[in-house]
Amino acid sequence: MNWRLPTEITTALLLVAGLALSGSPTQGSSATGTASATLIAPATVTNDAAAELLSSASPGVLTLSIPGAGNAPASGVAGGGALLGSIEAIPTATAVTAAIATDSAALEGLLNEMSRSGGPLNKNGLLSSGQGLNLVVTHVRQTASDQGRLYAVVVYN
Amino acid sequence: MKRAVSDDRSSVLLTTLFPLALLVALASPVAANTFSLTTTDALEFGSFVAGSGGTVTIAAASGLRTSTGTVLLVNSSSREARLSVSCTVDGGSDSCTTSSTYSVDPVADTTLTSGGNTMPIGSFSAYSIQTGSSSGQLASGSDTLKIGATLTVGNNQPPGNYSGSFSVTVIYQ
Repeated sequence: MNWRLPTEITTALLLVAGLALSGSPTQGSSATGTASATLIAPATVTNDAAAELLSSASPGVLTLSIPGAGNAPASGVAGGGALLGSIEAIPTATAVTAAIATDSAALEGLLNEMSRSGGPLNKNGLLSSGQGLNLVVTHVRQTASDQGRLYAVVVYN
Repeated sequence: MKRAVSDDRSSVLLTTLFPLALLVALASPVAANTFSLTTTDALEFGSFVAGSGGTVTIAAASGLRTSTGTVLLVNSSSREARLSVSCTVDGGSDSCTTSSTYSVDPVADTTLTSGGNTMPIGSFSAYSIQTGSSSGQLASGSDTLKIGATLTVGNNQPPGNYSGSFSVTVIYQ
């Protein structure tokens, strides 16, 4: 009795088995992620406005007044005491760049006092008062009359 | 003559029993791994001022936000996207016992939109918490995949709340 499978069937079975054992199809998964960004329109303080905002009651004593709604003073901040160190002007007056001073400690101390919250000035020159206000210093200038000039972009949250 | 009988038996084994055994084995139930990929956290570039343009980048590994050009970053919440990658047995609650690896397909560039305004996102990067690289491993059946990217901000880009989506595909090995 010949109980072997015909050669054709055997071959077919071997092919099916070989294909099945050659590996399952690669599996993959996809997911959709979301992304967001908030682009803020800054209230730009021009050079002239900055000069108005920043005054000097006496040489080395700086006072900055940031206007609120309807130009009402939102906060008036006095630097208090003599300005330590020297602050040089950044040549590009209109460029929005980080604050640069030859003595960064003096600038940071001044801005901390101005912000009242005492938050540190980071390397981008960004200072948050914690009161819904972000003040980005573009440059600081000390004039011949020893009056400080501060140029900044002020962003109200 | 003995040799002929032996060859005949081998031929029977090869041509009949072996294929049948294979079919029986293949027909037996085998536990199947079920992989899944789920977004858990969105990619947030946070708030910033456009200036005359530049880029905002969120690092996949650390979530650190950096900028180039004249883009000014404003203190705000920002982070990398996170996706949960997991593997279960037969779709049940049991985690896969073996560690599978996976690769991440390149994420296609896309855009964030706000009304009619757009900002392109590109240079997507991936980071697996399990491996510390762009390819992941499902140790104990799960992994967290972080995604970072770079957003290009145009000169005087119009302000607004921008949003968009991107697609991530992982291939399991």
